[in-house]
Amino acid sequence: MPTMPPQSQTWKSDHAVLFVHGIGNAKPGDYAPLVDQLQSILGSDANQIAFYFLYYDQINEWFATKTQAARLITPFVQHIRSQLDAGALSNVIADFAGDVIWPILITDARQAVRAAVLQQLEQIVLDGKKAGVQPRAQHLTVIAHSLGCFHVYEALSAAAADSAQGLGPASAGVVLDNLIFMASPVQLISTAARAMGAAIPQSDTIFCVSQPLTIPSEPGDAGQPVLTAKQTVSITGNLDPVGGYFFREQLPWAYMNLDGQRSFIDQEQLASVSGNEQLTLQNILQSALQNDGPPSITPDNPHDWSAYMRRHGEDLKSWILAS
Amino acid sequence: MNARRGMTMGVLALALLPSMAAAQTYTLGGIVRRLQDAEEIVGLESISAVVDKRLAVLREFFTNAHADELSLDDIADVVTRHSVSVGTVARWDRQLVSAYTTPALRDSVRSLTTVAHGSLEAALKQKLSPRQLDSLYAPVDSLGTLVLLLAKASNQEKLRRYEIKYGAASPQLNAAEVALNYLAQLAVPGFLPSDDGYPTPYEIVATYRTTDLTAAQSDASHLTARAVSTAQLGLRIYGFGASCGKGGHFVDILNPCQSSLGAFFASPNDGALSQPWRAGSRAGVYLARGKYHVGYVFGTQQRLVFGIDQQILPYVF
Repeated sequence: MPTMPPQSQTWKSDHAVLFVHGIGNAKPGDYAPLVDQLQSILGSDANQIAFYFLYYDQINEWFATKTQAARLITPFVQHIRSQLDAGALSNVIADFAGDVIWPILITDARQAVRAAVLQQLEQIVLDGKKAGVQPRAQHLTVIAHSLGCFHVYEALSAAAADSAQGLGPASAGVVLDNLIFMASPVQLISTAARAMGAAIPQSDTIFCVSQPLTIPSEPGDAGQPVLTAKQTVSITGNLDPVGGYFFREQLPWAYMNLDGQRSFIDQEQLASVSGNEQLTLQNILQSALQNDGPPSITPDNPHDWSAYMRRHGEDLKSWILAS
Repeated sequence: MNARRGMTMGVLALALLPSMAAAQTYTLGGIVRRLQDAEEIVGLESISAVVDKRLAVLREFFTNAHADELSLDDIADVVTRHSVSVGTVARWDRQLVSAYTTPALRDSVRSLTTVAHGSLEAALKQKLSPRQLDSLYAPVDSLGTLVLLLAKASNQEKLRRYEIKYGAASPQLNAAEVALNYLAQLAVPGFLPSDDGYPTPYEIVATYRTTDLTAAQSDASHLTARAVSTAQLGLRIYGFGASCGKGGHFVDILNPCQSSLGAFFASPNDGALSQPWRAGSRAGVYLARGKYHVGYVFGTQQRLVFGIDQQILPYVF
């Protein structure tokens, strides 16, 4: 039996969407409501789209059990805490970020998840080919959330740097219609990892650390950069620490701002308790951290994936169905 | 102009012949010819001189390397860095093999597919129907499929190996081993994944076992079993063979996915839960296969020691 076989399905049209989840130990099926949510947004057109969902909880479990990964993230959390003002909210946000960046210290974990993402992308393109749709006619969208943004960024950068993956935008003609990051911690990880310097094993294999943060690209037929996606979108909320905001203040060292991306900053609201929004946010994030499983989908959580989907339903519809 | 149009339509008709060739008969030279046909179809004014020049240089390179007849399977192997067969190399001009090394050929093939999927393809989309374009580009698309299949298989193999090393059946690391392996990845060559992302087979072992088993003469000269506390400091090597860990009852000894070897220490006197690293400890060597290990300590109280991963008393670390 293959290890983590990629999801494969028969295409009904030339459109496909891949979801890649983030923080949390999500198991296959945990995010089915999210897919249902997007299908509802897309209406009857959704029936013609091949939806893929990449779960990599199995890899998380391997490394969490074998290496007791939590022991390794303490220096990262301390670095992030030092970047923020003192206070309980800062401590919680630092802990929250620690959940995002633990793969940085475990090079094998990074490589394993990268292989899983690449394998899934390769299967999607092959499924399209099997249906008679060559890459030049495929309409692919990747929607990543939280830590999933990092894994997707790294995998697409690897694909653009290595034509042996068969996914190069220039060498294989695989160009996504949409690359959508929701609450991306790519800049946060880049900053924290650079600060750790030599303490990161094989940091030269982490694209967001060893190279400038850019939309992944490959040199084209006349030497020009061919971007991995026709459109790259970054959506975050102004209360979402993973997306680079500290209580409505954008943190340049944590907010991903790729040259050429379309940026959306959601104005998030809290149902504050006793008029203290900071305390409310602290409690919500703390609650999310204590949830040992897939992240709870609560309307209050500023990091909640479904809330991002809901707020950008019409955008998603127009982007995915644009062509 | 009419002559040009006639030639273009002829090229187009030729390109669109149904099932021009089965995928396995496509060659590198065939791809080059299709791209030249494509240039004729779109006209040189539709693509830049840089691209036209690039295609001409590539055609010359492949011809001089006698690589025109390479099959798509061969090319896909080159692109994905699989070892090229002796037969493949033999088809190249022996005088030129050293000059036209595999990396050079790989870069050239990448350059060729980049030309195929660049402005040429964009211009063809304007001139041809999707079906016509698919027919013209069948060799290019077939190569793309083969590369994807090999790349997917390679990523699957990586995941299989990572599961062997980190999955539920692999030995769990204690805190000392986590720290030592982390430091080894920072400082010792060979402990990092390979450049193309495969896991290293090596892992440092540093463990304390509370209740290994040995046998010794009792006062009554009877051979009696005794518990002994031991420590191991060694190197674990994973075997990533396709059949490792699979088999009958003795698979852990006959065909395990990991073995280790190194220094072995036992406490000065036999007994469970004693410290093997204090003064007077006995030292020796051990060999582990799967979850079983056997060690030998020298000295006045030399012992042959057996043990398994599961301990009667839990590990301290």
